[in-house]
Amino acid sequence: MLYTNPEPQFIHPKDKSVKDKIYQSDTIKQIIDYIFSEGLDEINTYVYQSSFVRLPREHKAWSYLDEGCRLFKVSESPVICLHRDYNMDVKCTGYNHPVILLPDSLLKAENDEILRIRMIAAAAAVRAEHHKLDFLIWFLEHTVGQVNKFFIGPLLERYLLSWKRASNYTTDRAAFIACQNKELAVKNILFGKIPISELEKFDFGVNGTFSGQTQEFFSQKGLMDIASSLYGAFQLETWLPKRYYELQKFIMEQR
Amino acid sequence: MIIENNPLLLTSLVHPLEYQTEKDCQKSDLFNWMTNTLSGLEMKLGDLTDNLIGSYLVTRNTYPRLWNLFRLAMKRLDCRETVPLFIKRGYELDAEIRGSENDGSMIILNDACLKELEDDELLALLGMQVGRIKAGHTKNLRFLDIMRSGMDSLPVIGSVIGRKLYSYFSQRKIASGYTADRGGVIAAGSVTAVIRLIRKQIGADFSFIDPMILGKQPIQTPEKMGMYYIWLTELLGNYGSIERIRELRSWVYSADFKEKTPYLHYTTRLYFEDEGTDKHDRDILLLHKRAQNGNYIAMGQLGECYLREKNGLPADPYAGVSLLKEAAYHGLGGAMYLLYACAEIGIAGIPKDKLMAEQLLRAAGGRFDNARKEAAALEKLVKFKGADKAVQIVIRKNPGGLSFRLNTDAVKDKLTADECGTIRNAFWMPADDEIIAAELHDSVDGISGLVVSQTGIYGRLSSSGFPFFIRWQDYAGKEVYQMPGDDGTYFYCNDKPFYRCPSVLKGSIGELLVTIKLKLAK
Repeated sequence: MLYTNPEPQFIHPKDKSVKDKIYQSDTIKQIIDYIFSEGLDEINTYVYQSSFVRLPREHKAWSYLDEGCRLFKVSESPVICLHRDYNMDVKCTGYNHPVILLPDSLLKAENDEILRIRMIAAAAAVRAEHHKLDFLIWFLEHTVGQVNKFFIGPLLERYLLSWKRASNYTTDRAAFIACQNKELAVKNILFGKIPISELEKFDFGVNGTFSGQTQEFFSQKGLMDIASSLYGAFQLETWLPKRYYELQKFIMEQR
Repeated sequence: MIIENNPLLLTSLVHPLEYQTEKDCQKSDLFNWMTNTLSGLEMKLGDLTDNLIGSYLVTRNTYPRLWNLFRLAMKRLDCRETVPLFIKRGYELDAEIRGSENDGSMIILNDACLKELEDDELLALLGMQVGRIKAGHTKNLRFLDIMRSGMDSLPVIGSVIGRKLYSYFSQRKIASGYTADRGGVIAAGSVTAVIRLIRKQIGADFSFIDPMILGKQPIQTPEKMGMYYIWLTELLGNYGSIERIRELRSWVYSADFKEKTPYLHYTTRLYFEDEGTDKHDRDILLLHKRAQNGNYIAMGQLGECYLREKNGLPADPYAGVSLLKEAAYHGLGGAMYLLYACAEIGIAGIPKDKLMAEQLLRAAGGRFDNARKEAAALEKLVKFKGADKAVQIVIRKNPGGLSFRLNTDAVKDKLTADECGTIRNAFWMPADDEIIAAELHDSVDGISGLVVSQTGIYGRLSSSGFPFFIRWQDYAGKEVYQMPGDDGTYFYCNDKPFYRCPSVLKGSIGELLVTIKLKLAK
C-alpha cells in the first residue's frame, strides 16, 4: 500500500482551497440557511427516493462502496440509486443525505475493475463533501441563475464551477488510491469518454497513447489560457488532458 | 400471447386525482383566466410546422411496425382524432405530446425507443401519449408550458414567477402522469409492460432488481413541497417513477380494476410475486401462472372460467376468448368447441360468423368428444363435387421454385407429420381433412398463411388474427376479387380478405388460386 492514511493527501489542493473560500462567503452561508429553512434537502431526498430504484444491497457495487467508506473514513454509507445515463460517471448529490447516482451504462459495460474504483472514488467524493457543493450548484443554477441570467448567475456559477472542475482531480486521485495501479487510474479517466473498443488498444503508461495528446494540448499554452477563460469557465467537467496531467503529477509526487 | 383488452377499462382512464385536481383548478380564478385568455387568442403555436421541419413523420411505409402499434394504441383507446406521429433523435426512452386546440395534437417519439423497447413496451409508451390526448392534456396542460416559457422571457424575475405559477398546478401535472400510465395499460393490455417501460426509463432494467423492491422502497414525504419540488422534478426526466409504479399497483389491487379486468389483475399480481390471500386465491393464481407459462390446458380451463364465470372468477369475456384462442392454436378441441359457441352468437371481439363457427365445430369434431356428432353432420355439407378438380390443379402445378409446398409423395420436401400437426392447429383444421398444399409465414407469435385442402381453403392473415375457411363451393360460386388493404393487396371472397398478395404473383399460391378460380368457373 502506498498510503496508510489517505485522508490528507487525496483531496486536491485546488478542490480544498476553492471550497474553503466558498464556505467563507456570507452569501453562500445565507443560501445554505435558506435551503434548510425551505426543507430543500428533504425534498431532494424525496424526489430521488420516489424516482429511482435503489441498488439492492447484495450487488457488488455496494461492497465496493463499503470498501471506499472504510478506506476514506466515511461513517455512514450513502444510498446508491440507479439511473439511466449514457455518461458513465458516478455522481453524488444531496446535502445532508448523500445519494450516489450509478448510471446503468456503467453496469452494462461490465467492467468490474472500473466499477470498483469508481465506487470507491464515490465514497471519497462523499468524504470530500462533493455532494454538498453539487447540490449548491444545482440550487444556484435553478434559482439565482434564473433570476438574472446575465450577471449574478454566471458569476456564481463560475465561482462554483471552478470548484466543480477541481473536484474531478480529487476523485481521480481517490481512484488511484483505490487501485494502486497507474495504468488503471488513467484508464478510469478515459473510460466512457472514448469508445470502449478503442480504449482496449490504448497503452496507459507514462509515455502511453494519451500522453502525446496531452503534450500537444499543453504546447498550445497561449491559446489554451484564452480558451480556458472563455470556454472552460462554464464547463462542469475538466478537460481530459488536465485531469491526465494532474493525475500523473500526483503519482510522481508519491514516489 | 396477446390478450384482447376489455373496453370497460377505458372508463377508468382518467385517474381520480386528476378529476380532483381539475376541479380544484377550475375553482381558481387564475386558471380560468389563463385558460379563457389562451383559448380566446385562438393561437396557432406552429408545433406541426416545427415537427415537420425537425422530425420525421411516421407513415405506414416508413415504419410499418411502429405504424401498426400506433394504430392499435389509437384503436384500443378509442381515439378518433387525427394524430400525426413523429420521430426525433433522443436518448431518453420517452415521447411527448404537443399541439393545442387549434393545432391539434401530435406525438413525438425519441428514436432510442425503437432500438431498446419491446413491442408491448412501445405500445404502452404510445398508449400513454394517446391516453393524454384522450384525457384532454393537449388542451388543458399545454397552456402551463406556454405560460412558463412566456414568463421565462420576462427579464430578471420572469422565470421565478413562471415557476411559482407552475408549481401552483403541480398536483394536476403529477396526476396527469398517473392518467398517462393508465393509457399505457389500456393500450398494451398489460400492467407489466408499463412497469417494464418505467424501469427501462430509469435505468433499472436489470434482472437483479426484484419487482418487490419497487413496492417496498422507503419514501419519506417531506413536510414542505411547493415550487422547489417542481423545479427538482423538472430536472429528472422521469420524476416520481416509483410513485407511479405504486399507483399502478394500487389500481391493480382495487375492486374496480379486479371487476373490470380480473385476468390483468391476477397476472399483474404474479409479477409482484403475490402469494395469495387464501387457498382459493392461491389456486387461482397458480392457474394463471400455468397459463402464462404456456400450458394450453390451463389456458383452456381459465378461458372457460372467464367465459362462464366458473370457480368464483368474474366474467372477463375478452381475456376468456384470448386464452381459448391460444389454447385452440395448440389443438385443444374443448377450446375450439367453446369458441364455436362464441362465433354462433358473436361475443368479446369474435364476430357472429356462421362460417367461422362451422370451421371451429369441424375442427373440434376430431378432437373433442362432445363436438363429434354435430361436426359429423356438418362435414357432409362441406363436401363439394368441384373439390377434386381444384385439388388436381394444385397437385399438377410444378412446385419447383414456388413459394408454396405440396403435401404429396411426389415431391421431395413434402410437409412432415409435425408440420401438418402444427398447421392443423394453427388453421383450426379438422383432423381428417387432407392438406394438399400450404404457403406459410412463420413468426415468433405463430403462423400465418394459406392452406389448400380437400374441402376448401384455410387461411390466417396474421399470427394474431382468427383463422378462416372458404369452402370450395363458395370459392367457385362467389365473387373473388383483389383490393388494396392497409398493408398490401388482398384477395377477397365473401367480402372478406383471405390472402395477402406478394409483390410478384407469379409462382405464389395466389397465382394458383386465380387458376383454380378460372377452372372451377368453367
